[in-house]
Amino acid sequence: MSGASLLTFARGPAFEVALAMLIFGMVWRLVGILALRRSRDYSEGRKTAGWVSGLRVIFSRSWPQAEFRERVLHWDIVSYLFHLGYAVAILGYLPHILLIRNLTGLRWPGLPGGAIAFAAGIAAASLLALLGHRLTSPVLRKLSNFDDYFSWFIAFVPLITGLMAYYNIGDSYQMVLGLHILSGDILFAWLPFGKLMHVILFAFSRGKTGAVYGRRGAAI
Amino acid sequence: MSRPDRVIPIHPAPAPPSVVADALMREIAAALSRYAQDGQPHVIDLSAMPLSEDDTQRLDEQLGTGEVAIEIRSLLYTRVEETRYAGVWRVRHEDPDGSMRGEQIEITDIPEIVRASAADIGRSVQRLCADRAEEDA
Amino acid sequence: MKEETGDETVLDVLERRGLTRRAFLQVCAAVTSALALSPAEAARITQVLASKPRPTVIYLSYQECTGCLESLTRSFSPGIASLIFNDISLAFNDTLQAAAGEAAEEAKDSAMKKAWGKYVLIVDGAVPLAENGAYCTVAGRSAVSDLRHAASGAAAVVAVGTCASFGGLPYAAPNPTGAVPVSEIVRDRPIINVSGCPPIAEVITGVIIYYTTFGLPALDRLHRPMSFYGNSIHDRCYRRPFYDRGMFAKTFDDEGARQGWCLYELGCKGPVTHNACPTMKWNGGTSYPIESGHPCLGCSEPDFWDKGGFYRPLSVPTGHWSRAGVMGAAAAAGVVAGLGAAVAARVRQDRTHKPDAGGDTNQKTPKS
Ligand code: SF4
Repeated sequence: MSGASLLTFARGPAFEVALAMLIFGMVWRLVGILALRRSRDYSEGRKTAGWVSGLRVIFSRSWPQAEFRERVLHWDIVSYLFHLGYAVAILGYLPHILLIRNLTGLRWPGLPGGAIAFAAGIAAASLLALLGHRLTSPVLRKLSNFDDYFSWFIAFVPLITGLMAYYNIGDSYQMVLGLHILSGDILFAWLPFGKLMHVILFAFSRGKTGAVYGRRGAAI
Repeated sequence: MSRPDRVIPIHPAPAPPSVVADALMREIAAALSRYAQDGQPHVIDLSAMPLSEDDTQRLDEQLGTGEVAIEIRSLLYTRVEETRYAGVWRVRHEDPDGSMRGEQIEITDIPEIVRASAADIGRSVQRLCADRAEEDA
Repeated sequence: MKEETGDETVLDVLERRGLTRRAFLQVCAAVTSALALSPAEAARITQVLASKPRPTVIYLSYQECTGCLESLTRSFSPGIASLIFNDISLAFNDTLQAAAGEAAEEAKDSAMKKAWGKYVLIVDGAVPLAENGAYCTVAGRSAVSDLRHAASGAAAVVAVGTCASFGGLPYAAPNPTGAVPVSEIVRDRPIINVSGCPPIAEVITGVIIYYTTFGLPALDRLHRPMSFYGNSIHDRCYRRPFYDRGMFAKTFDDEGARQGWCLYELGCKGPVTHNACPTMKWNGGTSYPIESGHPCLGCSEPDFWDKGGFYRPLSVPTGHWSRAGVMGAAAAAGVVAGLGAAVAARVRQDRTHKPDAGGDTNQKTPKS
């Protein structure tokens, strides 16, 4: 397939299908989880408003607990670097903003290309470091399954092809750009079906945990 | 969108910084000293170079004009001019309508295009003899 | 059109016309600068033009708008075109020649017959295949059979314009005439694609002169000469610093547009378009579309009509489907699937804990 037709495919049908899968999957998982039967709590709550601690936990879990801080802080920093770099590259680059505007009508000013490339470079480096950590830490390796590696890959490819396109690496720019957009499509399509769904579910799971324990009066 | 005046200013492409003229002058100097040593002529085709207006102007200033200027009126119109430096020539070709068709800087004693070629001289001999014969007849 | 063919060289022709070697050197100089030849090639050009028989050039037009020929003959001093067609090569061209009707066909046939197997065939326009090629006929013959015949006697084929190179406008969806590019019909001859709608005049002449003097130039994946199509517009665009700094014109008359900022947001296809516009420019080097404030349409690339719109940014989906319909259907299907999953989970729960055991029902909690 030539670069041009790959690009046309990625911008055309592949994107529509990916978008449909993204929406279908998101709605499916959210409805599926929210419509589950709640477990009945027979005891009387220590605190009545469990949702307050639910809300608090959504944020408090964003940094390590004091007890673990020493052991995990550096990996948390790397993870933060990745998430921030990824977010800046996605939300700050004008071509991406134009896509979002096309879908939602929202727009905001973009950042210079150099800043984007810097953020994406940091994100790529930290993503590689995190993979290294996952592969070398015996505990993490035991916890990891196909989903973890596949999701890592799906998140990494758009980053690296985007950087390649920005620096015009590879002998056909159209091909690289086509691969970048296609990998973005795949990211969209895969997002709701694996662990990448944490972009939405992290709030639900933390909130639920916070609410349950808060109601029981546990300090969390 | 407020429009203080109806004139939309146009911002043309900014000229690239002039580095080509300097490089060219260096090449010319090197070629001239080579020619002085072993008589090896050298041609630089200017149309293959990204000359900005600034470059052309600086080139004109630095090369200046010498003693000789030759016009060739053939298929195209060609102007051969010596520069301030003996052995460095500027050769410009134009269409009958005045548009530029090529420009060279030649490092040699006399540019090739000025010389009458052996074949042309041979044909002239024939023509001249024929003309003389006609006149005599 | 005139004069006999044979093994005449350019030098011979000029001499026969009573011109001196100086005229020949002038032609060489003009060719050198038209092609921006490397010093090594420039040193060879005199010898090549003096010794190589000048080729016959046959120029045929099919499903096209004549814009390419207009570009070639009008947009700059026609001197170089006449140089090619009269001095460097011997030519036949449907549109430019004086003869018409049967006389024209005869001239074409005899020119082809004389140089059979050796001429350079220039084709301009796509070739329609639907209805047995009835959408484009020349002198009662369909374009496709005419092209097959002409190509079988050609040494090489130069496809001038995006229609001949990649199908162009006739090929655009829904392609009612079944148009195809020349490369779909001619498969056993070297093809040089000189794409563009139209191509830059100097590029057309440059490629023809290059082929007739030095032979096949280095070609890219789409069979375009690397020397003219090696870089993308974006690579050489003078607005590139604005792209890199993230400064974009948002409309055609905002401050950004006036300040000459990058036109990406207005749909510029420069990043994926290979052509020589930024360096060679148009109309005798006056400017090129981006310099005149309009985004690049990508006219020298295949299918440039069908890439989702000239004013749609390159990163934005081409979106020919109804966005609302797709999203709505996906969301509805998601709700159904989600409810189904939840109901199934509840049924499973009921089955495992038949009478309400009162314990925690081992509910599936999403992990963080
Ligand atoms: S105007 Fe077009 S070609 Fe020029 S820098 Fe912007 S996107 Fe690239």
